[in-house]
Amino acid sequence: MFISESCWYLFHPFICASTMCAKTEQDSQAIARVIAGDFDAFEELVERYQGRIFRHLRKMVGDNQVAEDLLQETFLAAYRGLKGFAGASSFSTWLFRIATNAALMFLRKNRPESIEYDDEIRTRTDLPFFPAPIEFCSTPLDILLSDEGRRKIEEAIDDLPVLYRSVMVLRDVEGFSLEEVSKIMDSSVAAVKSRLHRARNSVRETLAAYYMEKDLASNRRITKSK
Amino acid sequence: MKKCREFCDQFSDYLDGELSEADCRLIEEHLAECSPCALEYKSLRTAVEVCSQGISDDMPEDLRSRLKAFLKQRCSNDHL
Repeated sequence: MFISESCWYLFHPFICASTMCAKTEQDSQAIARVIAGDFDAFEELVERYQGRIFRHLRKMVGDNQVAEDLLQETFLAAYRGLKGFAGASSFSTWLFRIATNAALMFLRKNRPESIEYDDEIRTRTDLPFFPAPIEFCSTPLDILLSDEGRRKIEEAIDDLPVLYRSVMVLRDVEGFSLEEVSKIMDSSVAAVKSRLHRARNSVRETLAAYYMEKDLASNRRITKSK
Repeated sequence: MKKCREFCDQFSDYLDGELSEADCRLIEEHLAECSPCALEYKSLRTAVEVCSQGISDDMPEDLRSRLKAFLKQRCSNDHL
């Protein structure tokens, strides 16, 4: 793998190598204490991961109450299975896999259509090439990340089919590597890459269309007021 | 000679550092001379960047308390 100048991921808060090593070490120590009977150490692990797991579950099932039930189920299963955790993957990958399986089981049982029609995603990249609108890229970051901007980001991701959404959240929000995402989702790396490519393009298109429309509306207001 | 669409199809892998050095060089040379593709790449990168920062992992305090109480009750009878 060649590290090109495009690899801004190296600075992602969860990807920074030294941070990752420190977290893995902290997790290993806490796991050893839990197995030795120290429940406080398990609460440390819960404290460390509950926000991220809840976010992942919320994005997968799209319902806060269901996500809360699955969050409880995930940590209970993790506690019960901790002794069998062999350390073949990191604790976070293992934990996210438990959460993902719980969410997929819920969806298969309650909304099977959301999994069955997973491949129904089309993006502009399926069409002949024409340039992206400029308004999205020229919008300052503080506006893109304002309350309104964040709502649009959430909506754009929520519009994706569940497996695309999950892959994008695991890679781009949680910062897992492609290999880790493939383990968590029980998919091949090639499938993860393909879904990620389409999910990112779809989100980009939704956001670009929104900022283009917003810019047009603003220009119309300016023209009217003259 | 690659077409613009073929370069664009590689942008996601390029962002992930999944391409060979030779492919990265081809993309970088193309981006330097093709402004529509440069804009396409910039918009994809911006979308990924804002998604990485735009979704909070804050959890309501009452949810934290409920999870803590649930686990304390359910795990207290379990011995690992």
